[in-house]
Order: sequence, then structure tokens, then C-alpha cells
Amino acid sequence: MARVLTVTVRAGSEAVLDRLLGLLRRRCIPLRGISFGIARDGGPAPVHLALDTTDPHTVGQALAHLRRLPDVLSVNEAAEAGRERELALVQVNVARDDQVRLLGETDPLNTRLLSVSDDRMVLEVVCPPPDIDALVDRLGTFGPVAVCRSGVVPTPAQGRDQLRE
Amino acid sequence: MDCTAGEALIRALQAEGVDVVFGYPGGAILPVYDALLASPIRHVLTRHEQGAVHAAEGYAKATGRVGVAIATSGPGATNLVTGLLDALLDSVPLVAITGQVPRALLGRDSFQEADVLGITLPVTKHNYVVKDPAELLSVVREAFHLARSGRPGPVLIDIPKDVGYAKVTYEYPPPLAAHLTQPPPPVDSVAINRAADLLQAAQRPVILCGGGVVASPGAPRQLQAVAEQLQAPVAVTLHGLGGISGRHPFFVGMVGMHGLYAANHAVQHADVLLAVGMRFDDRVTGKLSKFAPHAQVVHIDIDPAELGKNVAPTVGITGDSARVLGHLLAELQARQPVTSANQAWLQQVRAWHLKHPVWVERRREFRTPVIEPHVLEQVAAASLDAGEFTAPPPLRAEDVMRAIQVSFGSEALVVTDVGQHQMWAAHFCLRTEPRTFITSGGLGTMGFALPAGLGASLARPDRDVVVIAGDGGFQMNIQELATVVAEQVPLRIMVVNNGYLGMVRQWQELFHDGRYSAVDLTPGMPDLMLLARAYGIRGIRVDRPDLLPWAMQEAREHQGPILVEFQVIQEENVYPMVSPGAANDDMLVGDGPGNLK
Repeated sequence: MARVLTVTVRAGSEAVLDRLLGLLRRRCIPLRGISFGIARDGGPAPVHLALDTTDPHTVGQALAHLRRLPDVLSVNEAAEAGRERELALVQVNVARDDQVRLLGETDPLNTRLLSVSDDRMVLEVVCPPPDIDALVDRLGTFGPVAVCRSGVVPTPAQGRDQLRE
Repeated sequence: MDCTAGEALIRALQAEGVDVVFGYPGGAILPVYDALLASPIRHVLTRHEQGAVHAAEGYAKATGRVGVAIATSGPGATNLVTGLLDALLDSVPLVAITGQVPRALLGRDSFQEADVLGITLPVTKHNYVVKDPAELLSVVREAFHLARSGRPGPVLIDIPKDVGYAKVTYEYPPPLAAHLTQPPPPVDSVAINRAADLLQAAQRPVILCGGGVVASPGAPRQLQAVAEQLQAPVAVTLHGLGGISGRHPFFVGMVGMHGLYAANHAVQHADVLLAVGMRFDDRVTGKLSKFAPHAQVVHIDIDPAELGKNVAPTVGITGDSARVLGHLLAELQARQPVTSANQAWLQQVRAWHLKHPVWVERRREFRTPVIEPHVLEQVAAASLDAGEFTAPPPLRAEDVMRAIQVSFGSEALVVTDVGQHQMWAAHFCLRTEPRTFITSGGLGTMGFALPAGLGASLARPDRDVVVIAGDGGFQMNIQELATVVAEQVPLRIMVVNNGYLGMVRQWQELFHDGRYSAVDLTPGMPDLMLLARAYGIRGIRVDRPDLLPWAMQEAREHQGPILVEFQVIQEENVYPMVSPGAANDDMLVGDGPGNLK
């Protein structure tokens, strides 16, 4: 279980990712994933850090130390809804006759069909890592599966919606 | 007005109030050194960049002003690293300026190129590389602001050589970024009330004074008033020395691994601990789970990240020590004064102090006294004449410390290196005002004292500056004797020579069954009197206690730098000592009167 912190940093800051990651490493605060946005018009840029801990003391220390950095404008913990997600592209070698049934089974996971042919389908899914594991297991019953996963990406709620869009 | 960026930098330093810089030139920093020539700023040419950064630290620690160190690219910059981390851990306001290869050569493994920004990221409060000449003055302004604001610390500015030569328009000071100019949040009045409740009700209160009190103007006075209001004993950390007068009746001395018996016992038995401007360093707490086991902790610190980092406070208050103590004092004064409730507690603390005072005569017989043969012969001859035959008593490091205190008083600035002598100095050199005990605490950097003393003396020419170093640490930056001579800085350099890396030897004796490994410094040890003569410094060697008064008088009265070597007992240990991993009241106290172990 990760705790996601959203750090807003001063745009154009030199080596700001080095500063953030170096601080967490130095303070022995485990990091599971990181994602960062693009500064628009020179404005502040958001960085999302997924901490590999739920220990309140460790999270508190991370918040306090991050807030000390001169390049950091604000640090907030993302809401519960915005916890860790992973993006996966899944290719299944599946015969045409089984393709409709496959889509029915993957629908609850909000998968998106990217391409389809007579013997193959490619799906995109964004969900917690265990759900992707389960999806891959299930798709394996239809035929050979190839998966490309992004790794854990900390996403606040709106970020997740954007990913889906 | 247009000028080179190097000239603009020097003018900006002047505008920031810099009067002295410590540095060592090189190719990439030439634009800055060229501009220095026409500047009223005094440049002190140290003989190594590490000397420059420690000198800047000494200057800053003695005054509270920002110290400035300058170095060239590559090895010049990397030689600053130890001093930068030292300044970071001890919260020293410092700005380091380094040259860098021209922008076009960056990233090409050019001559004397180093990724200084990357290397110094973890050892600075913040750092910059100036890639646009137009940004230089904003960076300088921000660097000085960051170095001295909030919890002070070192900031580094890396300037490519071609940037230094570029033309810029000098307008200073430029505005600061908005997020850096936010006023500090108001002191939490609810927390102040809770703290006052706890302290008012305490039966065994103890105040723990840290470096944050020393660094905050007005805080020592407020702390003393709070102690008197609460009738509470005050213990100090190494950096807290001088935060309350060592002559105050409530002062109980230093806590921690080499803390005094009374101070450690007071903290361990406290029911409420008011910790001000300190960070519960492991050398202070000993085994963390056994630290102050009965105490509710009120922790005041300017750095919110320190609250709960090592010790979870019952009440944590963020803010400058003087400011928060002022609020706390007002709240306490508005309440019923503490009168006699804490008297029994104070008596108990005094009883602990009497049981193991700082000074204990003749703790032990020493195995290998260092007495030169000619002295033995002289004394033997005199003794024979007198009808007796006795060797002179050996010189103890504690004798030396006591002599320094007696001779130079509490007004002198004492600058120590790291090791046994540092702890003895902390015990015996009684400080009565802030910024008079300068040492490397957090990083424990051997080689600190000589250059730091140089910086401190230039910052405070009105005070005697006594440098105390061991024979190991002294040799680590020994080249700065040349700087001392060149600048005619009247340092009183006291080298406590026991022929060992004393503290390491002590650990090996106590915790490794006396297996001394690589601690003997006598092979190759230079004759310090000849060395002093080589540098043109007066040198005195002392190896007997009865010579101490004469040596101290010479040291006090000599015009200019003087080096006094004390050949002391080799295997003397610093006590009390808390074994690593033990609780602070589980102390080794040597084998003097009233020993526990």
C-alpha cells in the first residue's frame, strides 16, 4: 500500500527531481513510484510521489522534509481515491469466436480496446496492480498473453480520470 | 550600470554585508578573483579549500553572520564538501562560491570539471548553477536569504567561467521569489498553553538547551528566565554551551555520551523535558528507547522536520527559540509561580553533581606517562639534591583544560577540534555567553579547529581565540599555520599531544579489549617546536603540570600567534562515558572517588 504525495515545485528549478529523490533516499523513506507533470507557461509543476509505506511517522517526516526544500511550493497528500495505479497494455491471441466473450469479462475493469484482428486483441487498462495481475490470469484462459506494464504510477483522482480519457 | 558578472558578484557580496571571504583561486574562478582586487572585501588565502570553508564556518559561528568561501572548479569545489556538510549539520549560515568550466564545455569531462551541483546536493541547504548571467544577482540574493533565514545552512553558487566574464547590469537587491518571503507562522498559542500546563505541573522538570538557543539572539536570556520561573535545572548539548551561563546555579552541564553525571541523571529522571533548539542527536540521547523514559517532552525548534524526527514530543512547537520562549515565559508568568515544589528536585540534582563533579583528582594511575628523558634527569637531580627521588607528576589533559579556563576565562572564544580534548574542553571550559564555544558537533570533523579558529579570530578581533586540538586533528589542516602567519592572526593554538588518536584508542581499550589498531600517531610525528619555528610561530612545549602557569602566561601575553604543545599522559580516558547502545544513566565514570564501575 502506498501513500501518494503531490509536490508542487518551482518551474525551471535545476535538478529538482534529484533534490526530491535524494532527500527521500537520504532520509530512508522508501519510494515506490514517481510521476510528474509539465509546467504550463512557466508555472508550477506537479510531482506525484508514491511512498512505499503507510507508517504515519515516515509519511510525516517525508512531508516535513519536502516542505523545507526551497524549490518546493507545496506538498499535499493525495486523497484516498488517488492511490497507486498502473497502466498496462495487454495483447491476447484469441480467436474471433471468443472475442465478444472476452470483452464481456474485462468490461468491469474499464478496459479499452485499442486494436482487434481475426486472431488478436490489444487492450489498455489502468487499475491497481493486483487487478492487472488478475486480469492477465483471466485472459490467459483465452490464449497466449503478452503484457507491457508501466509500473506503479502515483495518480491523484483527477489524474486517473485524465488517464482514462 | 554594466559590469562583468564577476564584478557584480563582488558588489553584491558587499551589499550583503560581507567584509571577509576565505578562498583559494584557480582557473575557472578567475573572473571573481579579478573583481576582488578592486574590492574593499578582505580576501584570506587559505592553503587548502577545506581550510577556507572551515574558516568561513568559524567566522559565521563566532558572529551569526554569513561566512563566505570561494573555490575554483573541480578539485577546488570538491575540497569544500566536508565543510559544507559540517555546516549543514551544525546549521551554519554559509555561502560557497565555486568556479565552473565554461558552459560550452559542461558535460564533456573537461579539465577540472566536476558535477558540483550534483555532488553538493546532499550537503547543502540549497545550491545553484548559474547558466544565465542575467540570473546571477537573483541567485546571490536568494542564496544569502536562504543561508541566514529559518534554520541557517550552507548554500552553494556554481558559476561557469564564461558567465563570470559576461556583461550584466548591476541592480541590487533584486526581489526575492514570493514563496521565500512568507513571514513565519504565528506561534501556536494552544501548544504554548499545553506546554505551560505540563511545565507548571512538573515535579522534576529539566530544560535541555541546544544550539538553536545559542543561534537565536535573545534566546539565552529568555531561557534563563524560563528556568528561573520554573526553578528547573538546565542541561546543554555540545552546541548549547553558552546558551546559559555555566556559572548559573541551575546549570548542570552537558548531556549525552560524554555528558556529566548530574546532567544525564537529571534528564533520565525528569518528568517533563523542555527541549529547546536541539535535535535529539544520537550522541545526546544514547539508546533512544531508554532516553528520558519518564518524561513528557515539550520540543521547541525552528525546523518543523525536527519535531518527532527522533523523539516524539508530547507538545511540539515550531518557531525561533527566542520567539517561542518569549511566549512561553509570558504564559508561565501569568500563572501561579513555582515556589518550593521543585526545590527537592534541585537538591537531588545537586547531590548527583557532588557525587561525580567535573573535576576529580587523581582518577587512576597511568601506564605510559610521556616525560622526556631530560626532564626526568633534571627532576631526578633536583630530587637527589633535596634528599628525595621522585619523578614529576605527569601532565593530564584535564590539567591543561583547567589551566586554559583559568588563564583565558570565559570571555575567550574556545575553538576545538574533534576527539577527547573536545569533550574535556566542553567539561572544563566554562562558557558564560553564546558563540564562545565553537566546535564541529554534528559531523565531528577532525581538522576543523585551526581554520575555524582563524575565521573566528578575524570575526572577533576583540577577543582572545584559543584553538584546542589533538595531535591527530591538528595535522589534518596543519597547512593553515601559513595562513595564520600570513594574516597575523593572534591565535593561541593548544595542541594536546597524547601520541594517539585518543578517542578511537579509548573505544578500542573499553570495547575491543585493548586491541589498539592503527591509532598510534607517534611514528612520523613531527617535532611541533621545529614546525612552529619553520612557520615563524613562537612555540612552547609543556610536559609537566608545574610549567602550566608559565606557559599560559606566555600564551596570554605573546603578541601574535603562538603554538603550545602539551605532552600529556597517553592513555587517559574521557569520563563519564555512556557505552554505545546503553541508556544515558548507565555511565562509565572512570575509577576516581565514588566510582560506579
